[in-house]
Amino acid sequence: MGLNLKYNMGVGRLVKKRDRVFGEYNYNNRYLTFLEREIDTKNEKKLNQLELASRKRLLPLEMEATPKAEVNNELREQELAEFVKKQSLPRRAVEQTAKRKAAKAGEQAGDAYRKAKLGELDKKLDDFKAGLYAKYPEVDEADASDAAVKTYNTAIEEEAKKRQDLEAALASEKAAMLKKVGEGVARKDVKLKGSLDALNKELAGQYASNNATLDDGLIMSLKGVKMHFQGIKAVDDLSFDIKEGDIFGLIGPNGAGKTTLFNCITQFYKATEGTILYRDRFGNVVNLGDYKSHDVASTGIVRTFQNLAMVPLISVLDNLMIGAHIYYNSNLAHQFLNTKKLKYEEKANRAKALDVLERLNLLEYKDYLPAGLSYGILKKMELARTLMSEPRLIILDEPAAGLNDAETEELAEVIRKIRDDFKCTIFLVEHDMNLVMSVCDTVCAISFGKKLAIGTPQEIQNDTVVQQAYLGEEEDA
Amino acid sequence: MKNDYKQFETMVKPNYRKMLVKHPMFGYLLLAVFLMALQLAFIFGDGIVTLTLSRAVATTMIWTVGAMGLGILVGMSGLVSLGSAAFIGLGAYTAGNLLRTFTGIPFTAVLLISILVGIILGAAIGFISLRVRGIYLLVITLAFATIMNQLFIAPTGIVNTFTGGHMGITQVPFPTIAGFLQLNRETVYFLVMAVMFVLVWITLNIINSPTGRAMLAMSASEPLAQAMGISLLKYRVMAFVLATVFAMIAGVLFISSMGAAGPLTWTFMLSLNLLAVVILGGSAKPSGIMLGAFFVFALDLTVLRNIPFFVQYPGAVLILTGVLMIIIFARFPGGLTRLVQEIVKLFRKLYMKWRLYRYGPEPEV
Amino acid sequence: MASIFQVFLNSLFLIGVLCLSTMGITLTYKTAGVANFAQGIVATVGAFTAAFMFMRAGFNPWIAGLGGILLCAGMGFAVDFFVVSRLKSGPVGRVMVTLGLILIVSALIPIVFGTIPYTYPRYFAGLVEFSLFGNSFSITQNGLFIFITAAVVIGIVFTALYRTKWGLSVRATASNPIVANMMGINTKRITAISWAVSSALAALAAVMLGSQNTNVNIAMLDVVGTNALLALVIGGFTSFHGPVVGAIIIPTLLAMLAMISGLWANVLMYSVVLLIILIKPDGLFGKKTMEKI
Repeated sequence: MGLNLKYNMGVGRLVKKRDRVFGEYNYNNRYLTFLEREIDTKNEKKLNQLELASRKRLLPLEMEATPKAEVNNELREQELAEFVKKQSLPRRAVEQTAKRKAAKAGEQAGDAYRKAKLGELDKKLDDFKAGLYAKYPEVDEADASDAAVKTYNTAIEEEAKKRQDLEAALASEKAAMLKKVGEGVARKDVKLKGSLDALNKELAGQYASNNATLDDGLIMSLKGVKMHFQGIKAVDDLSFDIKEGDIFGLIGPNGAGKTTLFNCITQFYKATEGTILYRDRFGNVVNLGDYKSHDVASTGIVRTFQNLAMVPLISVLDNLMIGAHIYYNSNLAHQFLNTKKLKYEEKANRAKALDVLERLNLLEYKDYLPAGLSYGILKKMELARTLMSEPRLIILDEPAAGLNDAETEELAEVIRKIRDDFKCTIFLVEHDMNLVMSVCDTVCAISFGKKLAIGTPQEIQNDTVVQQAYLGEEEDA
Repeated sequence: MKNDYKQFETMVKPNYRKMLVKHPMFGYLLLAVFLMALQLAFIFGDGIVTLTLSRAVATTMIWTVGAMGLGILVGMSGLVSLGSAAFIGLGAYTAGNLLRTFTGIPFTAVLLISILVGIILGAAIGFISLRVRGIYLLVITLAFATIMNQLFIAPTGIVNTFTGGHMGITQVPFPTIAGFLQLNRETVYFLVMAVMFVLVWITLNIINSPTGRAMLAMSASEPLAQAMGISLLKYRVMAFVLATVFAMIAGVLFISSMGAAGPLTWTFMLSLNLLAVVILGGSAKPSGIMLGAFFVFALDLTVLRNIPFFVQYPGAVLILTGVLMIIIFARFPGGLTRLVQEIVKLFRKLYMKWRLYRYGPEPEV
Repeated sequence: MASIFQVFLNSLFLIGVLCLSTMGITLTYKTAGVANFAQGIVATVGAFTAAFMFMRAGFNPWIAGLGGILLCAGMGFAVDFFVVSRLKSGPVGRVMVTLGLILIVSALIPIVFGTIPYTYPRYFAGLVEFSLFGNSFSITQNGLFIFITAAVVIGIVFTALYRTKWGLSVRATASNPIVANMMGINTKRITAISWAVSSALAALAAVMLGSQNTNVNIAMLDVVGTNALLALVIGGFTSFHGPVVGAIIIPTLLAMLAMISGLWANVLMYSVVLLIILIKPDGLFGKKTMEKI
């Protein structure tokens, strides 16, 4: 093999650099929307401050400009409402105590207590009312003076003008800022794209030496993959292609080697023999065997697990952030000191996580710890997490295991939605035939590590070899 | 006319007091003020605060620094080390020799050199740790600590000039900071405090950073971490490096404030106590660690030392620590942090019960 | 060459002590899933009890030793019955409990037994002298007695493990406690008895060490405890005989290294052990287990 990232440090470094530039490119693309939101919140704060100031100024003027009787009425009502609110708790306490007394010493004692205590409170209320009338007497004054009204009206106009001016100023400021930053972003965009292209070209030369070719429209091709465990042939000479944008299903009886195959693709196991070719997001064809298992994610392949895998100690939102781990470009110093760069990346990824959660109808669970959530929601959370890493190929290991029928149907919809919205290919292993038949475009059946048939769901359903494999399994069971 | 100014004001105007109280560092700020006041009272007040108390608080702060590193290792990465005391010792000897040999060497230089040594050793253990798991790792760190403890008591040779053998190193001058400020027995306390709070801030940053999440993911499920592009090697090494560096810094602080250090301090028992701090605290958060350190070290040094029984048997506090450790493992996996939260919850529940009794059910809005 | 053999003879009693201790740790690790870090300190209590019975209560040293061993067996049983069997945490969590136990017991010993040092007699006072290939060698009778006792006891334990019904139950519990439980084995009882046997073995080791050193102190088993754990690791957790072989290797290695450099023998020994673990992470006799994803 010409190219082996494990041994060829130069290429490995180049790939890392390219992925880094790609991350930078992504953040750059998102920067303008982020900045706009920041400016908007800042502007809203400024407008609110202005509003506050103008109210402060207008309030006394308004009082002057309103007829005295009306003002007094209003003030009385307000203060009375406050007092009644204050009395509500003692009143409830009286009711409660009276109820207890009634239960203990008979209805009459309770009634008597209630009457006495409520009478006290009522008297207090009456006293307060009387006080209010003394403070704000009912007056038969005519309208307010014209001068006051005039002052008030001009003040309103002035304030409205002020607000308009501020809004205009802020809008132009924002436009100028966005334009200025936008230029910088555009320049950086061109530069990053340039360096990305250059790096890819350099890499393409290296990849070409691998003689790896992949037909157009294919995203992955397995060629004679074998995985042997001390003589046990878990996967035995498997070859098939996966088309870009497909939902590809892998089916087979228990122990057919499905999960082992997944582990070979994601490099948890190194295949004993055979190659797995994959077209990454830049159009380069790579041999996945050259990658370490933690580098596979950066090529755009992410997987979920048969048993739920999540971090129990942090919220759903933070769990999603783990999915974006490969896109953090801030180094340790940035992280230890919580610098602006890290804060921006955190905010950008958080916004993305919220967006993903919203699309999958999970937004309401964002602050929950995973421990308290139902299995179906956690499964969806795992899917959402895969979406955080800008995937090109999502590998789902028995996504419907442990779900009820309604949840499975919902899952089918979610899978289709993900394929359409995020433009990725989906490769799934499943036991639930209904799900496979309804959601998959292509299905491959394997048994004891060997391929039985590949085709559309209908073809597979009618295939005699596949039926035999499954019926045989039922006999055993 | 509607007088809703007040309502609007509360809606719009930023409530600085509330913002301060709600700030994640507010509790630490209060603690810092309290600790500073304590030492000022010791320096200027006439016998309000005794030397013993001041020393006890400083010691607790130093062990807290060591325990915070261990907290990152245990609480975030799910790895355990029994060698923390040995690394604190190494830090103390390194700094002690630097301070002794190069008079007037800036404290920053001492700190940086110790951190460098910590990074190298921590990385070495991190690499080893990748090959072994669980209890194997515990035994390995124990063996590592034993080797270092053997070196600390070396009776002859170059190692002896470095560690002083059974005698330890003595008469280490107090460090100078910022090039001219010569610290003394009283003011070195503030240096310890400042370093501790800077490390608290950094620890909080680490916990909330991608690195912290990666470590948590690694401890929850290694396949998950790898599938998400997290390199196990990198983060295991990093966890060990952080733990080692924190321990080395604790050692630097120890020698800076005490002026002398002997091999009897860096025993297996200290490692166990530091582990107990982390377990009692119940989480990697500095608040938990501080709570644990209070129970394991501060309580003993300040209160229990005045009780005759504990004066007669100075080790008796270990019974308390051990029993707490076992109870927490058996009943409260969240540690004292969780216990405090539960108590707060209990009080809230009691209040709600009382409210229901006194005022009846809440009216529907 | 002759002197190496003499050094080996001198450390023969250490091999016996370490083998007993390691056997004990292996037994609890395999059945209860706990690497018992506290075993050394618990066994020290046994040695203290024996010394107390001999010095203060005037018992015959043989009966005093038996008393210490029985007390330790009871303690081991109690630890499992009251604490460890009620835990739900994983293997590392259980280790933490034994670490907590170290703190408690090491603080309790001075309170219960006082701080005055204890002495303990050798069971046999004389020397055995013999000559081989023209060189004369000597070994203390007591040392030889310890080695033989250890060999016999370990022989008995292995016979019990592989020939009796109890041994079958222990091995079944060790390989899979859940399945063993389903097959009608009372795993709780097996575990508790294993704890008792393990503590008794360790106490025997402690009493033997005390008699060889003619004194009993709180730190006497620190090194033995650490070495027993190391022996367990180099031997590998998967078998019963591996750790015992590890326990023979360590003192032998130490005796050989002491010839090279008496001062750095310990450091060199631990470094060699670390190297072995690095090269063979599952131990010399351990099998690699594959994780299922």
